[in-house]
Amino acid sequence: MSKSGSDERIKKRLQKAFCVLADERQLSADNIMKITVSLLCEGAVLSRTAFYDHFDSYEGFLADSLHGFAGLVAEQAIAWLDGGEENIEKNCKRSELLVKDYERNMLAVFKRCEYNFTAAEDEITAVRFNSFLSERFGTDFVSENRGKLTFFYKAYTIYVRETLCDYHSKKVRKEMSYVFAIWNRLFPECKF
Amino acid sequence: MLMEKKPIAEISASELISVSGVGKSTFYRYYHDVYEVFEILAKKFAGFCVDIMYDFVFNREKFDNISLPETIPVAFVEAVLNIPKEYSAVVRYLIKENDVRFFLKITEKFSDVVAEKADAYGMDKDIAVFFTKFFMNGFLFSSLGDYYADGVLNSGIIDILLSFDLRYVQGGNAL
Repeated sequence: MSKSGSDERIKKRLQKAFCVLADERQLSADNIMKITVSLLCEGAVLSRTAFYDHFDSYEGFLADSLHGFAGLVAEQAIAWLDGGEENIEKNCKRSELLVKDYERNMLAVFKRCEYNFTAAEDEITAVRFNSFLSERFGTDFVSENRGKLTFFYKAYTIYVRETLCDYHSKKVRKEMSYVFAIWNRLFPECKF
Repeated sequence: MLMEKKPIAEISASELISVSGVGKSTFYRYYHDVYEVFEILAKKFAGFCVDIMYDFVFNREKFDNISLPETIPVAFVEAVLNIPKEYSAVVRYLIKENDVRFFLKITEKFSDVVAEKADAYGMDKDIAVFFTKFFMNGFLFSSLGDYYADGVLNSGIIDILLSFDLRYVQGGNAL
């Protein structure tokens, strides 16, 4: 068993336990920081030692999850674009989602608690988008259109993050067609 | 004004009281602490932003006769939009602290306004709200940070905003 595999499993257990606690305690912006490591470990049936092997505190666990979600949201956002306009139907199916149900639940809790991405997570998004767009349309395109591209991917990832919290594939299919319309208007020469 | 000089966490109530010239008991009668003063300013500013956005979308003519310089200094925008001086410190503070919540709330509020107005303008409500949120989030999150850091606004962003026209919203796919 690889170390990183077990790390992932522990993280997953803690995240699932967190979602259960969030419902039980109706977590909001006011009380999200009041969960304790003991409560979390109890829910995840995990020892505190195991928790502290991975995270230095409850806040550390939240921040780590948030960091992971920034990457996931960016991957999902890129996958939908990369799939192209004519494949929206297929790519927006629930079974095609890159973000798992428990992760979407936790994203929803974060949204409810107003626990938002910070500059560090924005940086992850920026790096992923820049490398994706450079690969697809060339580095010149990316450097020449920096302002417009930032505008687009910031608005688009906020949309994807929110839409993943409460996912309806039919609605997303329709809305993704608007996203493509905006993209095509901003960059008529670069079609997906 | 104090906020321009130091982070809010370092401003004490007594400093604020001495600068503003109000008495200590008056201060505490109205506010709990410095943060509350800030919250109230921020709330007022949010209302102010929503008003500007409203004009931008529904009273476009107001902006028709403004000729834009190539790069747009902060002071220019503050003058054109009549942004009171105390707000500019609030904005700088919010951006520096990366207060995402604040921007998201402004966008939410404005989307509600658009949703209400959509019917009257014969627009599809869902489309209008989607476009509004997208453009406002893009604008608030991409440009303002750079803007207040560099002191100039990228004119490309203004082009985008100017192309955010009700006709496109109305057309939806025909954007």
